Formats: sequence, structure tokens, C-alpha cells
Amino acid sequence: MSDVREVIIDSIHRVAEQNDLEISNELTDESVLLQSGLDSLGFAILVADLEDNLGIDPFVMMDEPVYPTTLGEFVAIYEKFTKQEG
Amino acid sequence: MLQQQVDSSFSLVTDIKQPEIDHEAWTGAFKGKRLGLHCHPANLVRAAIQLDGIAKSILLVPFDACEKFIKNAEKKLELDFILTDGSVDTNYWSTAVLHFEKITSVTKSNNQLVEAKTNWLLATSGTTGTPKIVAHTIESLTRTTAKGRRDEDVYWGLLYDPARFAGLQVVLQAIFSKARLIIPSPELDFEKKIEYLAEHGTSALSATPSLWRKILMSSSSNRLDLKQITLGGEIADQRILNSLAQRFPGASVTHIFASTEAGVGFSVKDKKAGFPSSWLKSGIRNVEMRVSDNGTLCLKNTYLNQKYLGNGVSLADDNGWIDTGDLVEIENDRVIFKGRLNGAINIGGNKVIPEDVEAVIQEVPGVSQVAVRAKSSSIAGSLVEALVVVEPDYLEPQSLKKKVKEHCSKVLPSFKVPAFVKLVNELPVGSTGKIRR
Repeated sequence: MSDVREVIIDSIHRVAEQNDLEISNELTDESVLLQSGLDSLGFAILVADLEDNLGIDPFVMMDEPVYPTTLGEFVAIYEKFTKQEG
Repeated sequence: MLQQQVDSSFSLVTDIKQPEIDHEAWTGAFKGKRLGLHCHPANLVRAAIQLDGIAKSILLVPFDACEKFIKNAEKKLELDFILTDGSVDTNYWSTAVLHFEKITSVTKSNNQLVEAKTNWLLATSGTTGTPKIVAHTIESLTRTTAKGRRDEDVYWGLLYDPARFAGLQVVLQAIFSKARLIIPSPELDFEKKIEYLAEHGTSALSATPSLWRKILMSSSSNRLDLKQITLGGEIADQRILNSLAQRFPGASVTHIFASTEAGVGFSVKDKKAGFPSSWLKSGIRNVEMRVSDNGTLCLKNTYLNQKYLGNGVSLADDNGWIDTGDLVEIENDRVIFKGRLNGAINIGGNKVIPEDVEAVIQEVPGVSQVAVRAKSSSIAGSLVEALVVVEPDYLEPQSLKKKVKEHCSKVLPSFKVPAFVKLVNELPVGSTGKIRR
């Protein structure tokens, strides 16, 4: 399990807790983001929260942003851009 | 009358039974009446088309309207009947509720041909809080709608409630261009709605940039075969335009800028953010443009010089120029939108006035001063951030963040609740003594 992945999972739970959202089931790579319990506002807050924690926002860094469907895809995007930054 | 626009070819694709409308019975029963429509969106569209030109006014009730919305509407408006298809909970209405199916039994009166201007009443903000209700007519609602086209093979998908301004615009666009309309049931979850739109051959779709990002995140979006993509209600940045062009290579991508209240608008189709700066000189179609001393975009509709609107307030100056209040900057050969002059925050197409949120936060014990501002978001356009100065003798400053959010959640719709609450020692103040947002 990568560090980035842990940071993301922590952030999801923190954002959910602070915004009264309930995360459904256990989060796996196959979890569909839009059905995870985060609403679209929650997802926007998650991306902003991750920018504070990881120092990057991949959705600003991509010229043609790819929007992820699953948690696995979401983590992969962050891993790719964290490496580039590092 | 809107009905004249709707010939037999106008078709609605939806999964709910459509009411059988007896034209004479409806005319007899509702001529000159003040009605509320509270039902499935597809039936709301059908009933509204039928009642335009007959009823005195029709209030379009959002599908998810809560008790508070209903009580507020009844306080503000005189209503004769609420019409429903039985698919929503109408128990909170104290106005008489009539089921569509019962309307056929109304005694037919002597019907003269009536042609009245019906007021379309639309709520402006979220279903919680106190919505403002604005009166429109079909003429004012369709001032920026393309008319006269025949797009019979176009299938417009509807992702918004037609009782909301953005949704109604799509409905009227479909009606006026003879296109078809696909309305997924509002109780479906987002993924299922996109699936429904894909299955039924949606070829045209209109959404805010934030909603488009959400569409791109849904797995069924791969099955959408779009030919026309429209963005509006929020600043469309280059990134979302690029993402859409890449995902739907065959589609035309149009971002619309419209000051709908003023009846002026234009669209940009070159898949680039903003619009060409040459338009400031040449104008585009019937719209002339210039930048004010405040840096805001001013528009003038040379085709229709609409000075006074329903409420009697003049939006245009003596020469017909309308200040949109949108800040613009010229970057290379493009005019780029930079947000609102008055500091209003646009969250996924929903408007938030910072002062409104500040007033709510100020009610929380322990808050000494507060400033609300936009924090830019790559997903929602903007998010709300609140800077709070804690009262010096307040014992648990850290707990205040949570209290502020809790209080806001109770009284404000979710998009107005600050996503971030920061405790600061002092608020950022500019040289004029005004809070810098």
C-alpha cells in the first residue's frame, strides 16, 4: 500500500466526517467514487484537502484532465503526479 | 401560446406514465387560475405547456421541494390549485391539491378561445433557505433561445429539474427547435441517470462545467454518443473544454455566456476559454460588447433594446448598455472571465453572496469577526472559505470550526456551507479598510 493511497483514504474519511457524509462500505480500488458516499461537493473538498496535504492538484496540472471513476484510478492519478513532482 | 410551438412531433422520452390531457376540460378548469405544478418533471413539462396561455400563473415546484419551500411559497403567493400526478408528497400544501386524472371530470364550461400571458413562477435558489420567486413569461424565458431551427433528430437529455431555470432553458430549447427531450426520473442516482440518457440515445446535453466533470467521472459516460455539448452557468475553463473535446471528439462544444435576466447572451464554439478579443470591436451577432472602467463586461443587445423588466428596475443605462457585473481580463487575443465584481461566489453554478454566509456565521457564539471568500477549486469552480476571528476570552477556539459548520448546515443549503473554516488572528483588510476577499 502506497503512502499516497493512505493519505487519500485518511482524507476521504476526514472530509466525510467534517461534512456529515457517510462513507459506504470498505474502500477498495474498485469503489466507484460517485457511489462512495462523497457527493460532488464532497469530492471537490477532498481534492482541495489533498492539495493541502500532498501539495499538488493533478486536475490543475493536466492539460486535458482525466476524471477518475474508481478510487483505484483516483489514487493512480495522484501517484503519477506526486512522482513527477518528487 | 407555447402550445403552438409544440406540434405532434414533440416527443418526451421518460419512464413515467404521461397524463391524458383533455384540452377543453383543462381550459375550463384553469382559465385565469393561479396554479402550482408539483409532480414528476416530465409531467410538469407536459402540464406547463398545456397551461401556458390559459392559466394566470404557474408555479413550477421543484421535485424535491421540502415543507419549508411549500410554506414559504404559500406565504408569498396566492394559489388556487396544486396539480400533481401523485408521484410526490403533496401533504404539506394547504392549497387544494388536484390529481391530473381527476381533471377530466371537471364540468366543461363555455370556452372562449383565451390567449393570456401566463406568468411562469420560478424559485431562484436552493430548496432549503428562503427561495426568491421570480415571474417570467415565455417571451422573457426564450429571449436567448435559438428559434426556428428544426432539429428533429436531436435528443436533448435533461439532467436538471425543469422547475429550475437551467432545466427549463433546456426544455424550451428542445421545444423551440423541434428536438426530442429525454427526462430520466429524478429519484434515480446520478450513474443511473447517465445510463438512462445513454440508453435512449441522448445526443445533446447541457450542464455546468462542474456537472460535466461529474458526468466524466461516471462510468456510463463512455456510452454517451454526444453530438452537441453545451456548458453554461459557470466559467468554462480551458481544461474542461479540452477534456470534453478529447472524450467526445465528434461533438461540437459550445459554452454559453448569458445574462438571462437582461435577455442578452452569446455563445462561443471554438473550444477555447473566454471569447475572441476582436468581438469587443466587432460585436457578435446582435450583441455589442465593451469593458467598463471597473473591468466588467458590458453588453448591448442591438436587436432588442430591453430597458425595463418585470420588476420595473432598469438594467440598462440610457444608451442600452447592460453591466453584467462579470470581471474580465484580456489575455493574448482572448477575453477571459475572472469572477464577479461584487465578490459573489459561483459553486458549480450556484451563487453564494459572501455577506449572507457571514451573517449566519456571526450568529455563532464565540465568533468575533468573519470574512467569507472563494477558494478556487479544480472540481467545483469555487468553494466557500470562512476566515474567523475568535473572541479573545472564548475557551475552546478549536471547537469553534465545527460549531460554525454545524450551524451553517442547519440554516443554509449545502453549497453555501463553508467547506473550510480557518481561525485567524485578524482579517485581511485592504488599504481602503474593506475586507479583501
